[in-house]
Amino acid sequence: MASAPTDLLHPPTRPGRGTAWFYGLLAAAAALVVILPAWDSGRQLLLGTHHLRTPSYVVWAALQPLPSMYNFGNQVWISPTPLTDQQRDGGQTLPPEATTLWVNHYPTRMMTFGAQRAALIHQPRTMHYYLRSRFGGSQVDSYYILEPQGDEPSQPAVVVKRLPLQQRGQP
Amino acid sequence: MSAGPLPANAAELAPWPVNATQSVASPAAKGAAVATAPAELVRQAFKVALAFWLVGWLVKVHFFWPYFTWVCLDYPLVFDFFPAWAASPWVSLVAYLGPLVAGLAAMGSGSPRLWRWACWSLVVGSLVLCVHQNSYNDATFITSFWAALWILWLVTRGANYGEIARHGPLLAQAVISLMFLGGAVGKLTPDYWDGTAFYHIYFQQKANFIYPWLRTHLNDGTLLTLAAAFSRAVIVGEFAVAALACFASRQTLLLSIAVMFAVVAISTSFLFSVMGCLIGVAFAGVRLTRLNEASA
Repeated sequence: MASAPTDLLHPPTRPGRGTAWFYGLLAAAAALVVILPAWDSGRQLLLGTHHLRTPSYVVWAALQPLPSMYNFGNQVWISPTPLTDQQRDGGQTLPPEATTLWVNHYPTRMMTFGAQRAALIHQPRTMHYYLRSRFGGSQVDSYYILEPQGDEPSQPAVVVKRLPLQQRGQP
Repeated sequence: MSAGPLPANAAELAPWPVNATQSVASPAAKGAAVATAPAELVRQAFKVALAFWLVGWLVKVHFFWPYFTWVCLDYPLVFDFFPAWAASPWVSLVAYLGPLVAGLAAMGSGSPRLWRWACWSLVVGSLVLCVHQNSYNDATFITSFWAALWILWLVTRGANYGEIARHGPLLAQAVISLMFLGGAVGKLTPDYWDGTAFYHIYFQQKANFIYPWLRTHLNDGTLLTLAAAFSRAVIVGEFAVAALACFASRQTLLLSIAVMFAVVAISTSFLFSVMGCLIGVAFAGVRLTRLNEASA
């Protein structure tokens, strides 16, 4: 480690390569965080990352390091039977076994993470997951079903499938 | 914990004046000089940042350990969105354990070479967990990734103390501000501005801290009003911390630390897994301002 006192007394005016690279990375991330929500397509893309439905995994993974804690208004409906738009919008009461809640981010976490995931295995029937996220004037709704894989009882697994959701304003 | 590689030559200690009344050879003078030597300050900054990073991962180990070693292994999800490696429970387990082992080894080591290897494992491990089916939703790994990048930057500067002094605190503040910027921008939606989201997530659904008490003592209308005020304060506060990057200094870093501790206090102690690494970076940045003060 070679160092001279002048190093501190007269620090270089230009950052080194690694420092410049780090500044650039931070600036790029901040720019994406600010610029992407300016367009509806950008908002749809960001909402899509929280629903695991970006055009590809690579696009999703590239956006993952962007900080998005407590982003968007996220609601989840979980039911052993399919739900109608009216039931999810509050126009009709939910079936007794259905639940709904708000989550801080990534509503898909209710399928893939933590205690909910372990509980899935002990759920012997297909479960229906409806996700809704709003950001500014944009909204993304997703519909997943989780089916127990019954052909290998020694190695239980749950198959996650995203299905099209016919709804107003839904592509 | 062993001591780091302190500079042996007097030239590196020169920018820090030693009390003229003390003999240079006296143990007290030597101790004072060593305590403020640039290499020692950098070592301290590295160790404090790494310690908080590790505590952030360990604070939820009671959850992550059974999750990664039992739930993910025994209860697989078949989800074609993720490639096989990003759904493998073994990958997530190694990505979680690897940085912990390497980080703990670096904490007890004085070898800059080991520090660099450990920091690479922190960066790679947290990045893998950011994009893995088993862990993508946990903000712990996003903040850990950016904090690990900052620590890696620090330990790869070598003896360029001028560069560390000039850019270390600013980059530390920039990392913290970026995290808050992401949080603030994503709340620019009616569900947060009118308080609906926090009303449900905190005031209706949370079972810890003050929220159960509020539910039993306040009516829905009051809770919603409170949630709206809380939500707007959070948004403004997050933008304020994001803006601190423009005024990075010891004071802004200390303010950021206070804000982050407050965020943990009003949510749940588990949130320390998200904030801990950032708090560590802030403390390290504060430590590095000593380099700036000395060279001013």
